[in-house]
Amino acid sequence: MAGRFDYAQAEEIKVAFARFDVRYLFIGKSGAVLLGYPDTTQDADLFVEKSAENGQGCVGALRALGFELSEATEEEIRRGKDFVQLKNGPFDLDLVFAPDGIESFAVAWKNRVDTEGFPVCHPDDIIRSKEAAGRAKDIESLPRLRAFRDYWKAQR
Amino acid sequence: MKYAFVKTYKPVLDDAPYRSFDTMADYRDWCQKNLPDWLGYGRTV
Repeated sequence: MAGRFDYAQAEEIKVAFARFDVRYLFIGKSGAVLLGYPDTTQDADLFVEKSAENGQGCVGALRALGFELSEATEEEIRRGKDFVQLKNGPFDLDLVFAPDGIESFAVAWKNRVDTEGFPVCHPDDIIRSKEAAGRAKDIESLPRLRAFRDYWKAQR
Repeated sequence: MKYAFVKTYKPVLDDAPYRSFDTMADYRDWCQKNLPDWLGYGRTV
């Protein structure tokens, strides 16, 4: 089992992905926490733009972070399989190339929020993705996420 | 916020170092069929 994911590692992601010019967004609860949502999460969820070039950069960044990638895994990331789950690195990481409920990366990128240098999906998109996923854990967290979104918007 | 990330063991989900799915629907189906209900990854709708 990988170690816990913490804020310092979010910063490592930011640095490594910038170094390799990867277009990505924090999404899911890790994204919400970076925006100030008071909760816990056990991994990082990244929405990565699907293209061969971006996938190649993503592979480089992941290797720099300490993830062990086989050639097959690298190819899947370059190809942009919809969902890649990595538990063989310094922390757990989900790469999502086509999250539920979000029309496209371009739309999410246009809506994004930059906070402390972190590119993060807009809370509306995080909520839309959880609504579309419809998992029990999402249904539990949505009322509070919506309330946080309303508070967050009022503060801006 | 800097201490908001914690880690606990999640049966099945944490038992493989890597997995991937061609579609999100495939991933959701896998979660539904393989993960304990109490982890909360099953669809409710």
